[in-house]
Amino acid sequence: MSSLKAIIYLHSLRTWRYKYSFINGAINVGLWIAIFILGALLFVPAEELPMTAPYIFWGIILWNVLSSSVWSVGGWTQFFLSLGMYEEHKLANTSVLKVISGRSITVLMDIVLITPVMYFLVTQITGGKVIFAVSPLYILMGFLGMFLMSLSYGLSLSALSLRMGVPGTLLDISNFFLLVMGGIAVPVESLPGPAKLLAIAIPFSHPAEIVRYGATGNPTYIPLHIELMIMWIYTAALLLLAYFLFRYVEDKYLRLYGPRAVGRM
Amino acid sequence: MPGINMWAVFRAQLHASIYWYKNNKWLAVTMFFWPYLMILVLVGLGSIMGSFELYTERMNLSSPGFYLISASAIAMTSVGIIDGVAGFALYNRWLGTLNYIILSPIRESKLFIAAGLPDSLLSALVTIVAVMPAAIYVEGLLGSLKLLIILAFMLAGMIPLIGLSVLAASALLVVKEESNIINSIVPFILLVSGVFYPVTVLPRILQVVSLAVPTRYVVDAAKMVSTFSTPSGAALMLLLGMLALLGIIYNTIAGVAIMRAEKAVKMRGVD
Repeated sequence: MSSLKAIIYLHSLRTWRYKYSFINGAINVGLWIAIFILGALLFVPAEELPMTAPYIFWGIILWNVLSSSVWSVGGWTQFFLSLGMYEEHKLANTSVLKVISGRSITVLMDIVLITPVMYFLVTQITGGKVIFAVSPLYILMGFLGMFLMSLSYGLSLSALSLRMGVPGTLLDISNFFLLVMGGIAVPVESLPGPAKLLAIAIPFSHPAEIVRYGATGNPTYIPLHIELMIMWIYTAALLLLAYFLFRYVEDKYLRLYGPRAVGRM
Repeated sequence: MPGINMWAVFRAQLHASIYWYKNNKWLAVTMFFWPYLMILVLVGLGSIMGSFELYTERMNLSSPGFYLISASAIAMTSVGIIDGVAGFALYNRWLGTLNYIILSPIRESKLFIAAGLPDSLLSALVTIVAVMPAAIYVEGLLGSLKLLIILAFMLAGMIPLIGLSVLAASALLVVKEESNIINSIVPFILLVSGVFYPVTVLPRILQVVSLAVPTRYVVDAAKMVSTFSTPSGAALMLLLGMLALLGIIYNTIAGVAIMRAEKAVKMRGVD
């Protein structure tokens, strides 16, 4: 319990200490996606624009959850290693997995910060209502699913980056791919033929579909109860994968060879 | 100390940049793909949501393909310029070499400009080379000529953008955080420049802000050459005039800001 308290304290204090960097990071992701979304909105007929507001808004928020997890959890690992924090925590018998999972605090704060900014931008541009939730419970469940899946993805990347270099450019490319083809920005129903199957295979499309259902009431591509079941199965599978990948890298590699980077301490 | 002037800093940084690219070949290669990736994301997303014809009509473009190519090139170059100038301060702060750089016998205002220029120029040139085949494919030889006009505007836009970047670098020197606090400047500049959409779709306040952003005028020039087969010379000159004006304003403010930042840092040291 005391280590958990310490981890929460570490990440909260760190966010406060690096407040400008935190604000900058949160806004950065939102602004980049807004550039593309604003351009894409010009493809939409004017009369349909207000109706797209909830899709656009939740698409941006969910992509933020994914992107923040990739960079704030997965990308932060390099910083963790190069500061010598890996060795420090190992010597104090503290789980590195727990420490890095604590970055979810930063991810959540990111989302809290960017949500009003995006709300303002999307409502101003589309002229539509963003939050007319049909079912807040489904929004909450979908958001939780997306958050846990993204955290697992970030932790898996983190485990890989303890062992090897993960090129940031590739992550950027895969994030953009997931935005378009992963059913995050647009409903699976709107995707062209075979892309629908691809989106269904991508875990992130399921929480996005559930959030969209909660926000608009429009039916999901797969029946809702099956969608929910798939989402939780994927969530559990990704969490387990992240856990075992982390354990594997720690037991089979780090224990023998040490971390990839030399810390400054 | 003789020998340390802007030219020496420029040459040293150019040398360092070339070797950095040689040692990071994968990153250098991806620079060629980024403009195409940007287009792919926009058109992919837009086509799922609606139709490309509607986009062309709303943007009032006769050559939407060429416009998207040049807009992506402008976006990538803006990233390169700001990263080149402001990123220099940040990178050296991380390395722990900023203290020595600040103590070197050259004024910080000159140093940041000279050190940021090689990356800025390289990024503009690489991006133009990357999109040239697509421009020729879309518009033939005329496309390559139009792209050269855009390049000229990008280089003109570089002057105020460097001033803006020096301002950001001054902030980096003064703020007591060694992490990246300037990342969001680039997307903000691109957002208010209307890089893939007309500025008029933005909320009123952002439309006003966009008047002070140099990239907006470079994007406007790109729109102009993508709309007309022979764009009006007077209109293009007006855009160049705005860039010159912003260049004077930003570089004057940046000169004062960097002097103050230098003084403050020399008094208390780099955190």
